[in-house]
Amino acid sequence: MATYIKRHDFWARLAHWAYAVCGVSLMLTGLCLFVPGAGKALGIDALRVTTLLHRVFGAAFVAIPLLSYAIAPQNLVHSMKNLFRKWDDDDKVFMKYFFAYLFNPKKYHMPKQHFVKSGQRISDMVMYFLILVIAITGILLWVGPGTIPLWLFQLSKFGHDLAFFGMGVEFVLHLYLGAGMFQPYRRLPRVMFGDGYVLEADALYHWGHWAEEELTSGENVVVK
Amino acid sequence: MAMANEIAILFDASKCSGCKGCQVNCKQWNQLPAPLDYSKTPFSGSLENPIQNDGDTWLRIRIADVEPSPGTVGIAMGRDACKHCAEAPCVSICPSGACHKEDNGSTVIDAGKCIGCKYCVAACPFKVPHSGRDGKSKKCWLCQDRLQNDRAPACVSTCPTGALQFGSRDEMVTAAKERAAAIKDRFPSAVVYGIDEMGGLGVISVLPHGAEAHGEPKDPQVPLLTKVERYIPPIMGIGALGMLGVTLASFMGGRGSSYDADQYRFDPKTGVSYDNDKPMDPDAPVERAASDKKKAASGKGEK
Repeated sequence: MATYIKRHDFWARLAHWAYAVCGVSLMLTGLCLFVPGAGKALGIDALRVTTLLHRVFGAAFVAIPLLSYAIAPQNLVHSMKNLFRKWDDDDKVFMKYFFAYLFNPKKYHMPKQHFVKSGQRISDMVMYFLILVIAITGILLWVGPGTIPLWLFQLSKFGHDLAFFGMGVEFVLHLYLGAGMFQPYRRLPRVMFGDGYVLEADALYHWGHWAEEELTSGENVVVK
Repeated sequence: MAMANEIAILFDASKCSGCKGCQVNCKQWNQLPAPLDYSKTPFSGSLENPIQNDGDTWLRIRIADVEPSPGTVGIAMGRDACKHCAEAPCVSICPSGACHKEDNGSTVIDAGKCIGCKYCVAACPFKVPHSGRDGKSKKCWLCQDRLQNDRAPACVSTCPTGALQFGSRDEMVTAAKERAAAIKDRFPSAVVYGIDEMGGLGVISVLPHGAEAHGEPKDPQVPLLTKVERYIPPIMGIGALGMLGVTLASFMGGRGSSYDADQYRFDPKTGVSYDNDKPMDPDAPVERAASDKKKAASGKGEK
């Protein structure tokens, strides 16, 4: 028997699953257009399929967040509240020691955190911005010159490539931490990819302030 | 750089009368439709028609008013079509290999391979390729079917004034230089265009009023963003290796640190969190005390 706290609801986890599949597919299919040699090596028939898939997943990439927030608007409010939460001293100390902690977690006692860690808030902001850039430029690239001015098409292609670069960096970091490759995070994938629950001990270790609030109210706490 | 076996068109603007026979024959040979609806083609304000190339118009003659030299007419003709650059950015940027160089130096788009990404449209310094009605890029292909049967491109074959000639690139360059020298007294600004631009063009032009008056960029360049874009994939490759190294170093540093989370618990009655059964001090230093570190190293804290 152990105590768990519910962290993410079904809709948030479903949207995350869909976005993960969509994002990875977009990166793989986009790579064939991003690196000309890769597209040529793939052959024209396969390239046609990947280009088509890129557009299908691209449409899903725009639709998924809109749809998921339309179904569960409380998640949008929750995300935005956390994203723009005022930074307290714990948040600042966390960021100060984060990189040192990343390479030597045995040496550091990281301060308590709220629902979203301060580092992840920065990462989320960057990611939201990149998603916006990549979605807008992707639509413009799809529309193409003729409908939009040539300079805008050129700018969109450059922006799309640059945002892809940024998303690649974000993806590796997110995968490394979120998927639990980093040892102290190793039990966290279940909160998004599993049942959405987190162990009391893990919650206290990672999000101390939030865990204490939840454990005090007991509303989302289960023993199983 | 342009190769010795390459072919080229010579466009001598000083001989062009602006009859647009080349435009018509290009459309006819390549079976390119023209809009037939009344007033479908906007008025250009000059004798130019249409106002720009598109997926169905691969060649048009530009007509611009210029200050006339004594004894000349003040009109500068330009030939707006693919220049068949030796260093063609459309070829290097094309992800499918549809844009390619033929052995004779022509730059050709293979419609069967074009995926409609339009990257070639963005990369061309002369703004030549256009998206066709099927979404694929279209442009002059130097009538490869005619060349294979020892015939000159359609535009050249119909030119009534000899403004368009066709042959080996070396011959065309020589002829262009001779012609430019011959008209220099009447047209002091006359230049030969296309010898070195973009590594050497497959269309050599004699332009009596200077390049810009005939609608050609003086120093054609690959668009800046396209130039910079080329460096993103290799930088991303290096970045990926760097990220791999960083995550590996972090992974190695994080091994054996999982003891931490298992020791945390919270007492809702007192509102106090405990670490290893000791109340957590919110003001504790972030760096662990030496005793903590020793305990961590010996693995005492492991469950």
